[in-house]
Amino acid sequence: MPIKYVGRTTDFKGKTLWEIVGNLKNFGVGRIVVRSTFERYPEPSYLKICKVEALANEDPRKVRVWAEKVFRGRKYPKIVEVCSASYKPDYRLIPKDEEEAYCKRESLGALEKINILPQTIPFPPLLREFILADRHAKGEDVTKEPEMEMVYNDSRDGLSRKAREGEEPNVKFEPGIGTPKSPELYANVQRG
Amino acid sequence: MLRSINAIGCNFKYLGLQVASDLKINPICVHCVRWKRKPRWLPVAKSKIYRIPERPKIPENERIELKRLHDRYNTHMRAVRKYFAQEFRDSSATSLAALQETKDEEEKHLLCMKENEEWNKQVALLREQRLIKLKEARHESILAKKVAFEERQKERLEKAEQLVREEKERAKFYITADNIDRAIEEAMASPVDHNYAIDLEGHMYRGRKTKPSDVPPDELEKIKVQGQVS
Repeated sequence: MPIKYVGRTTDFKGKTLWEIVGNLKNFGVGRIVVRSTFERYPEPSYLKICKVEALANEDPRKVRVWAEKVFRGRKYPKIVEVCSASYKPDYRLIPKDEEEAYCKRESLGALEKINILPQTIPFPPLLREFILADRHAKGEDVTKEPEMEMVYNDSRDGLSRKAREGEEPNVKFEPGIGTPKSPELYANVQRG
Repeated sequence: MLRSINAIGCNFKYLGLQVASDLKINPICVHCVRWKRKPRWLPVAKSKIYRIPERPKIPENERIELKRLHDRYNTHMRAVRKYFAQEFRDSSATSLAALQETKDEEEKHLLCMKENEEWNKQVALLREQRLIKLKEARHESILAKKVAFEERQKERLEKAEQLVREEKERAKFYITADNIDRAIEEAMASPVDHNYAIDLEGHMYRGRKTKPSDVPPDELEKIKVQGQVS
């Protein structure tokens, strides 16, 4: 009988971690598991299972797994514990004969480069005018361009960081909407 | 809008009210609820219970572009927020500038207090002098009053003594229990008649039973009228 899905669709694809690990010899220690969500990146992202601890059969069934994590071709220095996300039906087991080929997909080196983000950028035009007017009213130096200090959220994988003092950022700030990632969307836009 | 007002009117009609006549609703004052939905606490409608909303299909290039724009916007807004927060902190009561300001104000206040104290001292000196003068003047006036009072008292005493002396003098002629008989006898012996008559010219005729012919014409005395100079 063909399976008919009812309800909202999901982006997840695969099984829960317990469904995979519970059926394997020695709980699949040494095997490679992939989260389907991360397969959208060109670089390989996978978990190499080191240790498994079974948990009580509750709904949703979870399992505590320690694994070597590789995300977008970069290996994490420490072993990672996966437990709270283990119930998600989004894991896929890599067959043993494909393991080597899967892990060898080299990252293109793009991620080796860390994005250094600018420390300060110019103020938005109207705010800049207000600040200059304010300085003028206080009798301060108006010729100096006011600079807005930036705040960045720390990226978990350390792929980008704020420029240090005197460092040249390699990501430039462009005024307006910046450089589009999909320029074809703006093909018919006429700029006055 | 008019339709919705009609709908409200219908609802009121169920309650047995005539909207226009009973409640006098001014159509201009009615606030329209344009998007009327079911109350939040009601369960899913029967007709919608198995409805599955279709997932929006966003093209990949559009998705990444929108994500980039949103990220950019959020980063910029965070920076602007930080700037305003910093500015607020700088201008708030606990900032360095504000603390310096309060310190300056305190110093100024101390200076003012010092000057004020000096003024107070000067004024106190003046006041002391004035008060001494006033005191002296008052002392003198009180002394003068005292002297005058004593003099008056002396005079009064003198008068009273004078009175007493006169009375003592007169006491010799008082009628007492000892000499009352003699006094009565004397009085009886010399009756006094205060009656008199006057004629048209104002001549007095003393005595109750005296006749005009009894008095010789050269002994006639004239009556004295008060306030009239004869």
